[in-house]
Amino acid sequence: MLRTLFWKDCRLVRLVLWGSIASPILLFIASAILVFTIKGPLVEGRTTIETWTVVVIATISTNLAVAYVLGGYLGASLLTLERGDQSIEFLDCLPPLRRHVVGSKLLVLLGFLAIQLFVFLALHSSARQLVEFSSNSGSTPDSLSGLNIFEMLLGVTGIAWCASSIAKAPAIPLLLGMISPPVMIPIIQLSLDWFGITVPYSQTTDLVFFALMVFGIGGIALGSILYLFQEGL
Amino acid sequence: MIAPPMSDVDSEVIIPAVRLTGLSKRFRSQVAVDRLNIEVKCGSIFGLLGPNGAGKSTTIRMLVGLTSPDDGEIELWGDPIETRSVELKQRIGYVPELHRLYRWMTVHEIIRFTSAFYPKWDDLLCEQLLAQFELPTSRRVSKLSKGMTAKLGLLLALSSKPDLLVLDEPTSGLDPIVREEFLDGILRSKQDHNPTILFSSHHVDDVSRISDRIGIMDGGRLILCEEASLIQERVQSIRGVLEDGRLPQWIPPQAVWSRVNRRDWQLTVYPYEKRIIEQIKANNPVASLETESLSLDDIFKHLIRGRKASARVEGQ
Repeated sequence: MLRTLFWKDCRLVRLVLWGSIASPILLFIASAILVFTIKGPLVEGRTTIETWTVVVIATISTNLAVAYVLGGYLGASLLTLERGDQSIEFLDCLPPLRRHVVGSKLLVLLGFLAIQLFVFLALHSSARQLVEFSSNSGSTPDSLSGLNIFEMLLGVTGIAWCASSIAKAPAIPLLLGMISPPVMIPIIQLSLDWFGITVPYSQTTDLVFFALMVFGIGGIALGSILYLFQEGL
Repeated sequence: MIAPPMSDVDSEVIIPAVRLTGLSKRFRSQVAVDRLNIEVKCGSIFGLLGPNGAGKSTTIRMLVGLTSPDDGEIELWGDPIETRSVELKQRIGYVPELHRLYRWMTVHEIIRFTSAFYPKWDDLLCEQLLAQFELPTSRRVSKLSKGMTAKLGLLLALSSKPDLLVLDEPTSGLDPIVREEFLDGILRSKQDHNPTILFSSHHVDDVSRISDRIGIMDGGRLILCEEASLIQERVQSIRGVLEDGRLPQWIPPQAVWSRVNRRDWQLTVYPYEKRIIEQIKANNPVASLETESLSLDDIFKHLIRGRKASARVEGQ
């Protein structure tokens, strides 16, 4: 039962899933073309390996932005798309219970996060290898860790998911998911000031991502509960 | 949950497939269903007639679990429905008026998708219905006509071999040929595995063609519920000729509709009993009286018009 629902949900958001697989490849190609054809100050005086390092790091950054949008859209649309065209009524009359419906959608969400984490780690380790190989410490891909990426995407998708459990269209949940990380930073800063807690600057980023993840998990839990117990879909 | 046996003898004595007791549903100040009581015997076809807004669809939506009642109880095969299990949902087939199928799936995909949830799914029946309804399997649901979508909805419901088939105005807006094919499909499933059928419609012909028992709803209440074979005996039209310049003095409480046109007085009574004729004669200035049977269409119209007229009088 769950397998059939999972297949249906993957078909429902197939563009997002294909996008999350295709975007790193396309972005890598686009970055390579740009870096090698423009030959601007970014690659001036660098060896070929160092230039490829720049390409990989550019791919990581741009893919992160794409994953951010895709994650927000996925979280916002998994519950709302069927509500929008009312096909949820058809599904509600079929044997699967709401918990199966939510379970399948959560699996799709986790699948997306796993793809993104895998892509990030693959690109990240490639960049590290290239940096080590070229013995150049100029360009390091260590600005964000894999855990930070997972936390951020979980936060964006979870908050969008929570809002989508009561929304009829994905627009507002998507917006809420997208603005949650930038909103989180001043909230955390204000909270720390309020309670008089001093946190070193180096740990603030980790704290923001951790808070995002907590909100994301909370959003997924609350959204799922709202979806499970609301009358009519 | 195990279905009760459906032999002829058992279906007469064993608990009904559907029992609605005191079912009520209100949307803000509007009462959609008002203390409704219905029983549908196992293996029978119950036709639910009613004008638009009578509460038929709300009743059916409560029955299939799309909305929850404010009050009252729903029993399926004798068990009160509090939570719906997968096994219970597998026994119910639902065909709505407006099909909310996945428009992006092809006919083949939606059949494959739906069949995965039903252990009793009948591939052979599905193939036969596909051929009978002439449905193109490779076409997307969004590209199907209204009639084809309705037939696909019926195919999905019938192929799962449900013990209870619930149809909510399924022939509404369909052309006569598609309606005919649709009803044939229902009758075929009846012959095939004898499900209990609850069929709601405002097409009197459709209901009278297939139903064993007929209920008429208005204002959220069941105002008539009779065996299809007895309904024309139980509801009778009485035509009288009034004496010159006189009006009826007494109308029997069983009268559901009454109209005076010069000396001609026509009234419809339910439930009809022979003594009503004697009572009318004794209490009214009538020169003659005779009874006549009504078609189901007329019975339906008279009941609804009569209720509207009484509501107007009460409103004044």
